[in-house]
Amino acid sequence: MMSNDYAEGLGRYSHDVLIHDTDEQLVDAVWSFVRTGLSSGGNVLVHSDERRVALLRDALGTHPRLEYGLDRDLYQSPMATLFDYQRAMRQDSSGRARWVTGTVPMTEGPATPAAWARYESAVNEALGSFPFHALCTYDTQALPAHVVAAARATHPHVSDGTTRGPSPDYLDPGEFLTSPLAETPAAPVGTPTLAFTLQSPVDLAAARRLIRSGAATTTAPAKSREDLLAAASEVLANAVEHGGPPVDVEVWAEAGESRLTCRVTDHGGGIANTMAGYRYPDSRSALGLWVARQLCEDLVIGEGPDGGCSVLLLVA
Amino acid sequence: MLSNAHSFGWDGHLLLVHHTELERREGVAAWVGHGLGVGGKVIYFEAPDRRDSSLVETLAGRHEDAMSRGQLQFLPVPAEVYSAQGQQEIVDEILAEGYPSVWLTAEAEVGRRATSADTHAEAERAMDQLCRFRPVSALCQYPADLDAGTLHRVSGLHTGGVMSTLLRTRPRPDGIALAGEVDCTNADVLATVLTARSSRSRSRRFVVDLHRLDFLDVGGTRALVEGTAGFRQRGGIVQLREAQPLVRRILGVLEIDRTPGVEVEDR
Repeated sequence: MMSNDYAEGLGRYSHDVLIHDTDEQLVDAVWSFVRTGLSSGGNVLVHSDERRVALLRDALGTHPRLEYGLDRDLYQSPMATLFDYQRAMRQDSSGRARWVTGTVPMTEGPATPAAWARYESAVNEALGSFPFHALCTYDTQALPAHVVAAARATHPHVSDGTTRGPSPDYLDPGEFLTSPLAETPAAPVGTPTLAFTLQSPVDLAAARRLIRSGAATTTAPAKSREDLLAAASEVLANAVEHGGPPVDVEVWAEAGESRLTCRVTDHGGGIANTMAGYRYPDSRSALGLWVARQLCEDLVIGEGPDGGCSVLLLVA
Repeated sequence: MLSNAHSFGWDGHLLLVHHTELERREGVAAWVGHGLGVGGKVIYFEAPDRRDSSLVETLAGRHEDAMSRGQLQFLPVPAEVYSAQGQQEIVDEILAEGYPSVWLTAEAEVGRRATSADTHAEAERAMDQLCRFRPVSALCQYPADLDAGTLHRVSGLHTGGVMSTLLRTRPRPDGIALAGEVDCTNADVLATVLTARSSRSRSRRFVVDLHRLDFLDVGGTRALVEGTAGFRQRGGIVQLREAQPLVRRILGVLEIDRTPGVEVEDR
């Protein structure tokens, strides 16, 4: 039986993981989570594949504040999904908390399971300031052990829907990025196809022309190339204005390949926060990075060889 | 290299805003090239005490024929330039020589040193009128580091729009058209031009035509919002029209259509 303590213990934001090996465990936990959400006045979303949605709909029934969704509509790419949730939370004027339960469809679509694991970790940063509750369900029968291990590292709490406790394996988002489970992307090992240096904001337009011409040799879709260009321009503007010139730019764009990588390295005081740009910005200076994250498939903030800040941008 | 911003219409009373000497020269050279290309007579007014020698050399080298037949001239700025009547006489004289159009340019600095601020502003106003009703283009060269108040005033005096290496603005009856690129180096110029132009709008709707704008960043988007803030606060609607995909994407990510008084019209 569920207690009020359970609902209160969730606080304003919670991101729990259920690790299960049977459908019964799944249905029990989801049923509890949904009931807590509805009884506390929240809007609830249950998402999964067709089979599970049918299963859960049979068990949970309908309610004016209960919605069912299909993974393939909601989870197309990690960054788009993350910022869609953030946008929905920001634009929600109902005053109700949002409750979401389901499995991130890690093994379908172009994004790797590790990219989805980084997404799960970044959720804590991007949505942590909103009235948001998630119970992410991981089926040990269907998912490889390293995927389940990553789930334990990206969810602050483990829950079965009625009892919950801190996950002993949880890592802060910034820490998780350095874990092998995250498989955080690195720059390609080969020589960049294009390398140049910026001294001041006046060089930005020339830098964009160079990146545009480099990207044109790849088979990356026009939209991806333009997104990378716009994201790189924001990062470059930050680097010359707030980081420290000279700013080195490297582009890896192999003819005939769709992958496009750009690295921007400044000579300033170094990294303030490797998770910068996930939270909805409250200051003007952070806006560029927040936009850049939404335009890239991956944006990794790290340390440059001379102690400055280095930002890796990727599209495919 | 010149961006798309330079091929966006050349006539009228234009404001050339330059960050660097190189930008100034490129802008002037492109404008001179166009004026000569359409058969007009181009006069570069210089300070009496200071010849703009390297730009003169560049232009003279590039347009040797035009120089030798007097189609391109470099002259010390005459006192007539600072009065409406004097300006008309200069224009009449050149048209009487058989040229179809008149192209005049100078650094604003030259005028500001030669006369009082009031006289200079009066001369700019007179030139603006002249450019509207006669076949005259005047390109006034201003450094980009003007303070905001001066830039606002000056952009109101140049109804032909702004020309810079990256950005070109052009008035249209219901608003303004933009071409080129906007980033942190020229967002302030865009905001000022928008403020000056939208504050004169008597209609409820102010159109910003984006179809020739190739690039807009976060700072540029902010300029679109801030430059029209006064107009929108008075109840006006700003319509952002025909954005290219990249620009549309930035507007979308920043949810600009949720800003009160801003509409994004898709192609």
